[in-house]
Amino acid sequence: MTLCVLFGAWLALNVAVTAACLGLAATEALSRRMDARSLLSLHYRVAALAICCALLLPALPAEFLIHPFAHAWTSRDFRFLDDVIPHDNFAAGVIMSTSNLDAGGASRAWIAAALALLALGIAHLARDAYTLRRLRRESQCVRRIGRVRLWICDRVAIPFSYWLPSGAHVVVPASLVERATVLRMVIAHELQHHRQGDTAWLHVFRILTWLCFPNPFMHLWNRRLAQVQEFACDAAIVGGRRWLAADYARCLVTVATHDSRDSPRPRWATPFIRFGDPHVLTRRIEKMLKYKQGSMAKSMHAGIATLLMTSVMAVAYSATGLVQDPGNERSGVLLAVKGDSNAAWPIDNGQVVRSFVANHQGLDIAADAGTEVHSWAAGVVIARGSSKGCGEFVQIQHESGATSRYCNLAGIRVREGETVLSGATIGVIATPPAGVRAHLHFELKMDDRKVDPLEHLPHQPA
Amino acid sequence: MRRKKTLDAPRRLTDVELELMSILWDLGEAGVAEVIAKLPAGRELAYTSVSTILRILEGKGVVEARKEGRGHVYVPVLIRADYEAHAVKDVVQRVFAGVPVAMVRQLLDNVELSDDEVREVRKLLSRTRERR
Repeated sequence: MTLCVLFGAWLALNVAVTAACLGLAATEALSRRMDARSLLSLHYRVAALAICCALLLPALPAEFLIHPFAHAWTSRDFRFLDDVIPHDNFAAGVIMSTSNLDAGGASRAWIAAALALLALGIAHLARDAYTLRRLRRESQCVRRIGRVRLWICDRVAIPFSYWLPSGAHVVVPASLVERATVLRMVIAHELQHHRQGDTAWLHVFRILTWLCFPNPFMHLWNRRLAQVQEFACDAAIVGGRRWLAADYARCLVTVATHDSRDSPRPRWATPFIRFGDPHVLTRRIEKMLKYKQGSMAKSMHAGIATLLMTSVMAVAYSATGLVQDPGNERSGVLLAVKGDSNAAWPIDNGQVVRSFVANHQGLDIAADAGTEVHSWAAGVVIARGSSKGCGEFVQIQHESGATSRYCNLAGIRVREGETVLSGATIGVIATPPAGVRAHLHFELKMDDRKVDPLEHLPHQPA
Repeated sequence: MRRKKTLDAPRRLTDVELELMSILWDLGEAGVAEVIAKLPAGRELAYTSVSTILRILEGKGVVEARKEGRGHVYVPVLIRADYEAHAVKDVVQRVFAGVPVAMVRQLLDNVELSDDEVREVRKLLSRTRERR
């Protein structure tokens, strides 16, 4: 696995997270009748899909099913503009606007950022482990409810629950023990978090946040998910009809009145009340008082979920191929040729009269003298001149690292150092000596060795 | 007879825990129902709440539980005087910045002491001086 694969997976993950966050926000805005529990399950399904996309898509072959959208934009994509904008003015801008990221150039920054993120993640983990250890030392396990352990602690002011591979836990402040009804509601709420899988998903989202640290959409998603988790728990408690919504709202207010902003808890715990947003408590109470069961059809849920998940997958798939490995120039060129139709035949309607063999390391393409010769791909003219065996020639260095040489030219239209687009006219076929058929001798060099140009051309000309 | 243990540094008790501990200190040992019966009038604590608090006290090591019939009987392990001493040291440390005189001054200035209590305080002070 190369650094580029990792970088590609990271970029795909970020794109998928951004698409998921925007998609979920749009879904919430458009389907206000969706209940909190369905919405929460949609969040989890989309998150699972985003992770799968990031892990699996970079491993797919380059031409899996359809070509991804991401490719090197060249003059071929903008050919319709040829008549509108003069070629010279157009060239530089288009070539520079390639969407391929140079992972090689960014590798040092990438490694430094990854190490910094790793250090940050370890620091957070250590701090949480320390907090948890201290809390465990000062707590008493008073009950086991199924696989969940109930702890009472003097030091915490806000109940919370967390999950570890060793088991699920609910921590309740000692001050609530004497309020039996409030305590029962709080425990029911926290158990609902475990039942919904919130406490386990929190670990996944912690890792995602850590991985997508620079992505603001990940932080927005985290924040929104925390709210949806609470809404879903409240809906389950109120929907269970064990307690009245008003009593449950009173319980929320009772817990919230504790001066509990500094109440210790690990970051991967779901607290009963969150203080990040001052209006969240009001919204929770409003939502539970207006709670209606099953206000949207299941088929509608399924439709929305499918649409959203397909969109996220499509966006993530379109991001594959954004990063190309500069250490593997040959495959980079192949990707450009095969995936993007980047390469152009040097002559339209030419005829291959001599193939690439050991003693003729090039391709002879016959056409009438004066036929225009085009650049195989975008690049910079590195040589122009004439030689004994080659006649007048042009040599072009391409972005992928390959070089192409065009021999037997006349009326050369490019200068040394000039940037040319894929398919740009560089000259015409020279008039040959008597008895010789007019042709272009075309050579392609990759990794410092000449290769068969036919393998790197999009299709056989008519 | 169960030997009462003194704890080196008993953990701080919450208000409700101290309330139940006071009842246990008075009774010597008690079950949940007896503790509830001894609660002041108007103090509403559910059976489950009292049971949970007593189990928390057991977890903190300040009481011991003994199975008796269908329920448990709780026996204080922490001696009242030890807890009082610890609580006073804690208050001096946390509230009066480790200066005991400041606490005594506040006590004399703000709490009305009867003549008998003042005599008792004097006696305690002279006993402390003699001990040195």
